[in-house]
Amino acid sequence: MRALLLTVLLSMSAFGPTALAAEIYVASQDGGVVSRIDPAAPRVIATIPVGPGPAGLAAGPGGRVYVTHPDHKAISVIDGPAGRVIARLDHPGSPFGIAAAPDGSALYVGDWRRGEVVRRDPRTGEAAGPAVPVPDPAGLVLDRTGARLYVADREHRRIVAIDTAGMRVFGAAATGEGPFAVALSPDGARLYVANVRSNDLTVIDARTLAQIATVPVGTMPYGVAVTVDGRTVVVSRQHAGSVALLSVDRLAPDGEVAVGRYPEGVLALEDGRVAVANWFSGDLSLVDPRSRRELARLPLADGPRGLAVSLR
Amino acid sequence: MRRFHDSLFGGLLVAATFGVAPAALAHGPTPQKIEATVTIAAPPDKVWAVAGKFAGIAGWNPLVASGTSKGDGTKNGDTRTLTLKNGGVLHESLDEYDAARRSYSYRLDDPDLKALPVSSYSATLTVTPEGAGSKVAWFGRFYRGDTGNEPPEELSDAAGRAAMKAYFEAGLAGLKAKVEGGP
Repeated sequence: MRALLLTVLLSMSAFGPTALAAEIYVASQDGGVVSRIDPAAPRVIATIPVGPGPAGLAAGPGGRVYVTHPDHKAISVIDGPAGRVIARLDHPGSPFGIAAAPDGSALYVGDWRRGEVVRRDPRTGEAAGPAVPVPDPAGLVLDRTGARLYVADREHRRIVAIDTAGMRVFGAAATGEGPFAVALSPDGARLYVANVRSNDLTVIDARTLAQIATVPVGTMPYGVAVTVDGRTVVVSRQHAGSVALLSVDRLAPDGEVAVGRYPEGVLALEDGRVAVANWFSGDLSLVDPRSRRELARLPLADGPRGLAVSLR
Repeated sequence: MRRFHDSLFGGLLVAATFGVAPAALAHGPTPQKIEATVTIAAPPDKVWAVAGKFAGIAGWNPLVASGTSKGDGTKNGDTRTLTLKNGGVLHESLDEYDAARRSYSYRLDDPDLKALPVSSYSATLTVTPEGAGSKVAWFGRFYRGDTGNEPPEELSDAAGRAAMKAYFEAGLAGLKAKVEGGP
């Protein structure tokens, strides 16, 4: 039962323990809630009040979900199955992107205001190890083992690669302009980076950090995910109100699916579908990339951006 | 370190020390929604002939004094420079232009807090049929002028919302008046 648990903030994914049926968690920044969704039905199971301005989301083991509040110097800890906040961790600055170690040992938090990435103990909230300077940390993604963290440095046209054991930078990869969302292929070999200002996708060898390709994807690409079969990259296009589909083999456009207004976070589900958080229209699209169709649209609280998938 | 003169404070100073555009910081805090619509008693093509001119906004938005463009305003990457009556200047670039769907999308390149108290935005303007006339929708996403944790009132989310609302609504009222040949 080796399966992936994709944790995505604005489609930044991380890998975790095994899962069969999963639930989706979506943070609605204006609504101040996290919605818990059964993607099979599909329906909203619970709407969890978390306090104002939740943005980034990561799922950890044990049903835990972690949510950043960039304007409120805090991270909420949610017991997913119980549907409630069980702790609030202090985080000075502006915590935004977040990833959870698959073994539950650490949280990695990008701080937009202080320009650093911090490792925290998920139970106590204490900082653990040195903070790594990254001037403008946007999306971040942890590899399957939790050993490597890749962070989009939005104003510096690069991905910063961090060795999490020592919290030290081991390299950087060049991107386009305004790298924001980051996704790893299911096998961990490739990084896909959506560049908001140059309107393209940078494909990077995750091991060597060499740039493999740059693919135009349309304007304002704010989210990216790779389908569970590893064959299709899905990129949200905010202006067009759609997701672009790209063939991994050809690294070329392979269709487009209309979704809601200003789509942002994209999340790959285990059954091959993709969930898209539509920020402006305040809803969630479930898309089948193979048939290139939007299958369902679920209304959510205002301002959904980040999403993650966790265990049932 | 561009275009921020008198109202520098923590977040922007931090940005400045890294040598980045202030808009860069715009993604930590909460993005704000703006949407305005108007119905116009004229067919969509007639409305689009006015509204679809990317640099022609000074002809219908009463808050805009003048506009110039680079390119003919129909290609992605074309830019426009708008001088507002309040003295501020907006540099914007065209992201998508679709004459067939009577829609264009653009974004702010460089913030000017004097023009509008926001650090970045993107927006779309569309003209669709509505009964015998047209409906114009102008909507977008922006970030407040100071993206730090404790913005002063004049650069807060509320201040940004008020200014963007005024700009969009005055624009659509002006567009309606111009196309309908009103006062």
